[in-house]
Amino acid sequence: MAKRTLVIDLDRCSGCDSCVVACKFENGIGLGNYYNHVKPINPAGKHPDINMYWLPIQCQQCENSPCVAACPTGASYRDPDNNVVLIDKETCTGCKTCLAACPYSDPTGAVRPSVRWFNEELGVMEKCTLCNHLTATSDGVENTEDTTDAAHAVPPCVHNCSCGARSFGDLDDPASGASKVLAAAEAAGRGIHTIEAEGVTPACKYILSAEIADWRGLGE
Amino acid sequence: MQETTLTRRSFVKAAAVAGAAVAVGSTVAGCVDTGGSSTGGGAATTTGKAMYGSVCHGCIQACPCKVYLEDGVVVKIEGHPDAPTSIGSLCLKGLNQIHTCYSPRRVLYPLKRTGARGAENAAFERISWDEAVQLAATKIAEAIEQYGTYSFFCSVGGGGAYSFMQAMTMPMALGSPTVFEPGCAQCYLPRITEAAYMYGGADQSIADCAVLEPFKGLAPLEEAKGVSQDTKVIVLWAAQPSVSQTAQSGRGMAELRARGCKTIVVDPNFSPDAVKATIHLPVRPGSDAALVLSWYRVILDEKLYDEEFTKYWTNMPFLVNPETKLPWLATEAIDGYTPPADMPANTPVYVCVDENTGQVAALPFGDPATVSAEVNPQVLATATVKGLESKSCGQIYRDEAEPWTLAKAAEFCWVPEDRIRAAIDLYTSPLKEGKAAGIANGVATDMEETASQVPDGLMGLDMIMGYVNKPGATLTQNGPLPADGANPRPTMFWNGFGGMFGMMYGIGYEVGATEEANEARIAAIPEEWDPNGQLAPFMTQSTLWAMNQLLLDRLGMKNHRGLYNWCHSHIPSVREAIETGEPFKPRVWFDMSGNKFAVLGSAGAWYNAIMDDGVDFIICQYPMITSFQIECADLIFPLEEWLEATGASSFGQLNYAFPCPGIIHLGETVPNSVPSQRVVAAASAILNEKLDSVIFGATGQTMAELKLQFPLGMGVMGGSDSEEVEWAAQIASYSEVLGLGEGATKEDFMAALKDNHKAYNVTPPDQYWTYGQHLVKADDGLPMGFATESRKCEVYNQIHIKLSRTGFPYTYPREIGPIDPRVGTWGGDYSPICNVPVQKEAPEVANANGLALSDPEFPLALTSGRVYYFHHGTMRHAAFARELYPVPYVRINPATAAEYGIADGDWVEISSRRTQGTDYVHGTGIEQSYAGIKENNTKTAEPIRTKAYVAEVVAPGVLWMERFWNPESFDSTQSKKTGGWQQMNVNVITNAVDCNFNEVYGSYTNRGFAVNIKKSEKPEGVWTEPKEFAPFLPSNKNEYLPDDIGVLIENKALLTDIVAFPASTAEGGQ
Amino acid sequence: MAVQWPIVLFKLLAGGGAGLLGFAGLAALLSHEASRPWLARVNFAAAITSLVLVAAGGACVLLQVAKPAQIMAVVRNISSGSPISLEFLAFAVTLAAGVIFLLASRVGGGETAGEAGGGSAVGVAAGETGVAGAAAAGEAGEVGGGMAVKIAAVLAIAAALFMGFMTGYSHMAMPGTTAWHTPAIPVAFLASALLLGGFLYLLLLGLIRGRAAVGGDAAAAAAAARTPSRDIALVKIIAISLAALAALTIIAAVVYGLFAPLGDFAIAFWLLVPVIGGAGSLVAAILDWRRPASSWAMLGLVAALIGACVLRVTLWLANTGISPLLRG
Repeated sequence: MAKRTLVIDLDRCSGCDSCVVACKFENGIGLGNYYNHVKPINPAGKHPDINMYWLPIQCQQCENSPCVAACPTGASYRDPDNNVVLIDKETCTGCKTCLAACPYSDPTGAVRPSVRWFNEELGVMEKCTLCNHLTATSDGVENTEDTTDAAHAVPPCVHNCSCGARSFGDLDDPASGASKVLAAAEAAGRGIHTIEAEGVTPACKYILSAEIADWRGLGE
Repeated sequence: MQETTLTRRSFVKAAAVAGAAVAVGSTVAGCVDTGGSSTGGGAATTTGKAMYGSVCHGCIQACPCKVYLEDGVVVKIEGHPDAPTSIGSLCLKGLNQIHTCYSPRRVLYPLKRTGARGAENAAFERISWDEAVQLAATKIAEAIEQYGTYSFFCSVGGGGAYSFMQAMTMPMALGSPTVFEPGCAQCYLPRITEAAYMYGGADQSIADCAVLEPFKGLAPLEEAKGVSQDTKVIVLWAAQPSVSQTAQSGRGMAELRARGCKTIVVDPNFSPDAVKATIHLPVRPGSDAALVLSWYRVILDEKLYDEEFTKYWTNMPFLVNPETKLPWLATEAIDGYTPPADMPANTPVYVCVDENTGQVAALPFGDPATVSAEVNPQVLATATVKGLESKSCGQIYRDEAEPWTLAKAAEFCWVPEDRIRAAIDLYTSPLKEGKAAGIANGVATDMEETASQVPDGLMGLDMIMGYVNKPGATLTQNGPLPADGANPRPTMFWNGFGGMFGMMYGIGYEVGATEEANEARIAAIPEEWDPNGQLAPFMTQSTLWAMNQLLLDRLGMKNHRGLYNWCHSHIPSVREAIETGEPFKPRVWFDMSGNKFAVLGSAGAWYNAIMDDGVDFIICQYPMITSFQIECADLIFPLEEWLEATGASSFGQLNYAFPCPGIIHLGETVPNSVPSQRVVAAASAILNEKLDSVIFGATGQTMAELKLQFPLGMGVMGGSDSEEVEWAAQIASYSEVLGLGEGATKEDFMAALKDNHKAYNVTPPDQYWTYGQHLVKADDGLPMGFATESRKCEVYNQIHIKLSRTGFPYTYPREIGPIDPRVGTWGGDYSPICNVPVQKEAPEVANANGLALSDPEFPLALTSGRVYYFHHGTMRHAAFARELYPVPYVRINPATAAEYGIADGDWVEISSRRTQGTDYVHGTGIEQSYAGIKENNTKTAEPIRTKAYVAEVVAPGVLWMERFWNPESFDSTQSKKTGGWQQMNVNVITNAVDCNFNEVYGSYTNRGFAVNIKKSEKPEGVWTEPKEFAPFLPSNKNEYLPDDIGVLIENKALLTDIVAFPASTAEGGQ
Repeated sequence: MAVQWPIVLFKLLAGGGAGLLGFAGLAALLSHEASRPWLARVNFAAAITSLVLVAAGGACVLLQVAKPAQIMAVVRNISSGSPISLEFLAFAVTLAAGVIFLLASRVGGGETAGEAGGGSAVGVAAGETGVAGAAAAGEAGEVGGGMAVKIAAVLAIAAALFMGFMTGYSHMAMPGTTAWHTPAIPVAFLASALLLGGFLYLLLLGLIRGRAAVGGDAAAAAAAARTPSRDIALVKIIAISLAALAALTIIAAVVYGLFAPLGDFAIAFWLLVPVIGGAGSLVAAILDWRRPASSWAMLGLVAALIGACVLRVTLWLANTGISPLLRG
């Protein structure tokens, strides 16, 4: 089945938070609610021999999606057409079961960073949707002539990224934007990583070269 | 709780979103259609969906973007994919424009203060434009009538409204010498001016778009045209492009690094650029000059420099007369010497030691190939000339660098020795393959005592490396090459931003032209204006005299003469003049930008100077209300935000230029040029009736006696006095690419722009990326060379010596005496090279862990820097920025934090002498460079507080924090309102009071000053939790107007037409 | 992980309530003809109490859910295979079994239950389909009533086991939270739930049987007086099974304790769950077995309650499966 996700180049990412704000405007997210975050992985080593990186984190679109398996109401589901893990806000009861199931979420869904977030005002769980309302049929290779072209649209966090660090697409489709970035990184021998967690296989890939910093996932 | 933000998907015809407060976009549709009347606000269509290309002015650079509207409301902004450097990026400052333009804090109408000054019970009433202009003009005219023209003064700077030219020219138009900007001497003036002195070309600033070469050929569109990417090594000295120009230079740096370009970053803070750097030199704040000299020592000793360029294109070989400190002219040094016949009078011949003969020899200007046949100049040389032991400029530099071995520099600058060595090797490596690297020098060094010395040193390094006008360098010029043999040698016409005032009023010397040519130009100016002469009506000897007098009387210029280049005054001297009335008292103030209390150094001193009735009347113009307006503005003119602003200035990115149409329009806002133009016209009308009684400043002569009329000279420059003129300029520059014929109207222009993001102009690459400008032949058969006296790169800054002695080239034809010898660090003169003066605030010596700092009671060094979320004083009202960065975190090393018992996230209090009481003048033997000497121990403000971020991102003993102010502290919900500039603002503790001001520019110390820190708790009246910022979101309440004016974008009346002024009523001077 | 209190309460109440129902069923199965009159009244009371407890547990879930109006989505999605859906299924089955058992024991009790004010509990969950069948069987006559009670008893026991197990299984089967992936959890939850239910039943039994004897209800008092040994035998059987369950609780708690990253509340866990909870209720059960008395049942109930409560709370606190670095 399709594996639509983000590939984020941490050699480029400078932690500027523009992806968080772009996401908030696109999805009408209120204050205190977030679909994504950028976590600075604090410098390792002692000054001046230090290295660090910024880790943008959002729903990792896990292939075995424990959230979908755990959800009692069916609100957490996979889009039947493109397999993207989503939350149906009409159905969700806000029971927070998925917070226990998701290894990348804070148990209360209210402390950053937490990829699933509890929206107090609406009483439902929220998370990154890969802007499926724009990108459901997109290959992630943006059409610069018309950025609203549904066959090539990318989420605003990818389009506006101030470092060109974010790419989007289906990793099962070698021609997708994300696949191309991943292939180029592999060819260049740069480190490809995922945020390891027991019991899940996240689809989101991170690129980080040793020259910039040593990968420490969420900062082990 | 409100979940109000603009949502496209929640855009329903009329119903508000269930269960949530008004989602701004959703309710507009209902009331925007007002029966087809075309009060279309800006010019965008107000029905249905539309997209217009525009350019974000969220920071100092300019990212082209696409703005999406639904029914006349901006709902989304995204980066423009064709932009050559930002390549589709748009940072959060650009995205947050939606919450800025529609913010409840907007000033939408002229506002007049109705109560006393002070934030606590500030109140404003809306008045008409005519009332506002008349009120401003009357107050100014009254002050000038009573106290003379010097009682009026202007200021600008603070971010968010770019009124650069208006601020410089408005005071002059009303006969006042006083204007200042918290940036200027502390931001860019040193670098742009030193570059002009040393080689007459563009400086090393990335932020100000002087350095563009590194970003060449990065965009797919440019690669497709075969434009190459040549920068392989770049040094970012005191610059953080990835933060300060997030989506433009930030994206450029990301692309550059991705293509394998190696970077060296010199910054006390582990900034994002430092994180990605090949080599990071975490220099101790304030010690840059020593590090620069350590580079000179290695490069000169190991001959890593470009010998040919240094010998024949720089003044390093010139022998210097130890008495005049100027290079010997051949005619002086060699008896009976006459310059060669083909050497024009405007190209002097100097002397050097000829390496072949070991003797003093003439070194004529010319093509290295021909000159090297005659003489092989020695770079490091000493010789006796006329009985005086004279050293070459190179030798003088080497002597100055003598103490700064790598080991000494490592100890003084707290940087590991091996890293300094590795950085020098990397920086010099491209020369070995015949290529070029380059240094980019950021703003941080402008804000220190060595503001003139470090840029001199850094540009000198690029010059001796020959990294000038070459692919891959940073000292490059953009634009078409001059035609071969067609142009005279380049000259630099001084005074006023590229010689502008020199051309207008005749003041200033044209460096590179002969003395005779300069004298002839002055003589040609008539006593009376000759209607059929070619000169402009204001070019008369009396205007020349008056404008020259403004320079001589400018506050602080006795000692800090570099400020003349932008005609700005020395800020502490202005504050002193307000406090003491010496030499004259500025009384009516027209401020043209944002939050002065957030961006002025030692803000507390300014607050005290103003608030104990120091300034009679304060006029402001700004799109938003900030601490400065709420505390002390008596009258505020409403300015447009960039979504409303038509072509504020046609912003470009590299060789692309994008249109900036006024897409929407709120209230009675106007472009930033309009208020000053209208006020000067109105004031002039009043004053021109009384020319025989109005005194011209401190001269004692009346305007009538001087045969002068208001507005003086060119009047206010920069922009027009109405929106129509701005539209006309936009339409003209883009009608061709839009296929519009003559006489196209605003409506035609916007119709052609609708849903068309391809309307931009591109200069062909070969007309823009050009090199070797100095090698092109001039009309005298010699290579053009550089716009300096010697026609070469003057690594030894000759002009500094003349400037410190006579005010050359600015005050020509009149002279002012020498500077106070105690100010000059080069034996009483301005230093012509990089040197390390005795430092006052910055720590001087480092013990084992670098903590032996100069001030025992304030043992830590605090330095500053930008963060993504804000630009200068802007965006503290942007809810989506504040929820991510609610307070200005102070960075502190874990070892130092432990010493002071501070944990990560703790509230801390930071103090300096400005908040603990200080003698204005320390017994340092240097009488401060401005008039007043304060003896009493005055505390200017309370210490500031913020939260600690404890990590290994700064060295032990160093703190780092950005400026800040709190718009929430005067929110209507606060029980006790304050101005919000005191609680967390680093500028309360900076030193603009009694630091060692930089000798040339008077720059005060914003970076690397002595502080202390201790645990504390949260200050009053500040918000930190995300949902607390809800009042900042667009709503139907404007904070400063009593009646409910409807949602700023919901109430159709607000989408008003452009403010149309009646034909200019007052006939100004022109 | 922060303790989700409404969920803890649900599992305690629903589990305990189901356990009570289970033991009522067990008693009904083991009871002889003669002791039925007071037993029917006890079982009737037990069924009511069980329904109230289980329903209260369900209410707690509504507290946890931010949008209760959406709860029907759980019903619609019952076949989703999510462990929470299975738990909800068990909850529904338990309620149904409780109602059926209630009706059966009222019908089975015939005339005496009527005057005892048991009243018609039919209305409690009229919607349950099974109810009509049992009621009809009741009217058919004495013998049918006996058979109905037996069927309802078996259903009750089955429901108790299903519910008790499910309250633990929904933790174990939660994907992604490795700190819960041990079978010890459902076993411990089941055993501790039944323990609670059992002691509660004994209390009810002692209470109602005693009152019947004192309360002047001649027939019931006579029957109770007539068969002291058989009644005591019933109590002993329950006590013995409670002892077994207590032992099982101890074992399961120890296995879980060793598995889970207990962190800084390990001491509290070891003291309160296997020792006070498990051993405490074991001792109480044995004492009750040797000389049945309500005070031992009360002691057992308290011990079991402490053990069960701390066990369920521990599960949340020990759930460090989520990367602690998220809070870094």
